Amino acid sequence: MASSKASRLGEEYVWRTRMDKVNAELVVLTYGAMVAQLCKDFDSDYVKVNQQLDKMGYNIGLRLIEDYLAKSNTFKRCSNFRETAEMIAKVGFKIFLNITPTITNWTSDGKQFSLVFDENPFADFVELPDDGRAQDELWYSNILCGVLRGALEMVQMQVEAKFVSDVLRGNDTTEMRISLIRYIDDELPPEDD
Amino acid sequence: MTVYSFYIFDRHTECIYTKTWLPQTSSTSDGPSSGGGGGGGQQQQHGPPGTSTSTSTTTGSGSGSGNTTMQLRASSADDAKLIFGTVFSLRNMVRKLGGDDDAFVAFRTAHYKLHYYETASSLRLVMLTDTGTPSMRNVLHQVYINLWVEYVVKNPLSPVEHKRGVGVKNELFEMALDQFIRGLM
Amino acid sequence: MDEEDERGAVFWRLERIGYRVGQGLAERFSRDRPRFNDTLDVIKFLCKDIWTLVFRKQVDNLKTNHRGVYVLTDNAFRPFARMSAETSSQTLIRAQPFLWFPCGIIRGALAGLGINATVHAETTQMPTAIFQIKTVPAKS
Repeated sequence: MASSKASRLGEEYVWRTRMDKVNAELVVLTYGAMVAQLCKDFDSDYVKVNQQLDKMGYNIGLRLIEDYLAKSNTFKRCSNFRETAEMIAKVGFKIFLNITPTITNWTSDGKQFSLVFDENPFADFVELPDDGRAQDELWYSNILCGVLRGALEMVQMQVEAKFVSDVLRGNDTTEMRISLIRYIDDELPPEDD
Repeated sequence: MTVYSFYIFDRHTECIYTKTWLPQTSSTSDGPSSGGGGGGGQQQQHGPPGTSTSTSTTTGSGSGSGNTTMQLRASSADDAKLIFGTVFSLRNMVRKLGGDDDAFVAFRTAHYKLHYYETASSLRLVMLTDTGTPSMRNVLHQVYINLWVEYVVKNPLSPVEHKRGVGVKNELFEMALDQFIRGLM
Repeated sequence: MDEEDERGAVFWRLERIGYRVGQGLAERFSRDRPRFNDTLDVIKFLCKDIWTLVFRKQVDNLKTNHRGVYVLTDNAFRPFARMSAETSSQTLIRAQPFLWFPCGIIRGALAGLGINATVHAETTQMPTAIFQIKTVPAKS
């Protein structure tokens, strides 16, 4: 039930606000140019590039969640992590990237799942640097992991998000693994006088 | 409908924005007799309902005390702390009694009504109005999606966190908020 | 690194990223159109097609001295739409770095279409942005 509600929300939003679209080529080019610049800045230390992308995404996520909440008209927190997964895949990704990754590979405790991306607007026609290392070390779309981490932290979920496969590396799928570490308690006002 | 004041608290419980609206008739005296900082004309001389008058959190009996225009003191940091402490306790109590889906919406005293709205991202909006004002829940929701998200979150010059209110008090947000609130009154 | 150096480094990076984007855009979107007659033709393509692609509107005003200088004015520059600080003068100062990426895009797009140029941008009133393009005659 949560699932169909989530899809409807996503569809409805995209239908309602068709005008606010960014050109797909511009996204690919801009993201690509930025990653290329990072690779240069970090001297092709791809571990550092991954970290930097994650950090940039995190800062985006902290803000993006507010736009998500406003656009999706969300008042309440999700009642469980499965509902959160539905909302991420069918509302969040739909609203901002117009894609709907597949939710799969749940662990039995309901705390870990995967998002499998059939399409990835950042990576259309992209080729990784041909230096024999990028294929094994660079997670090209790592910014997305940071976005989810930042966005979910704002709604009181600490998660770990990381790619475990990427078609750009020659894998069969592009898969991101998301694990709930804990729910974050409300911060309390300082107890002075 | 009269709006007296408006507060925003972030997820760290810090007050990151306050604004008070002077009653339009109050050109009583220009002499800023009170000693507060010369902020943007936000201080008032009249004794407000603050803590000194007999307000209590029991639902007041309406306009029992006559038509005294309620006026707020310059909203000091202490007021903000007091307000946050109060709404936070009420919110917690409401959730405890009514379940996590229940929400604290408003309370009323003899002199004012306090409206509360909390987003899923733990942004808390508080508005004080006169006692006759109907629910401001939708108004606060509009402030969030149309003003906060548009003019603070989407403002490239605004930082992610707003320690001491940095980035919130920008011209566009101030203008849009003032216009929106005055349009209601 | 002092502030000046840091500003320089940021400028350089943003301009360079913009340059690559501009080049790419020019390549992909000039393919299906007739050949350009002259520099002004290219500048018009930039003001209409490229600008719409990137900023979802056209440049509002184009002026030229007919000696290689073109001034583009966008009266509602998209990146400035929500930009605001506590005072107008602060906003103007802090808006400046947001012009560097667009400057790079312009320079890159022109380069992709065979025109070398230098690009400067400024804003004196939000949300207006003014870009000055000086074409560099090809050495021969």
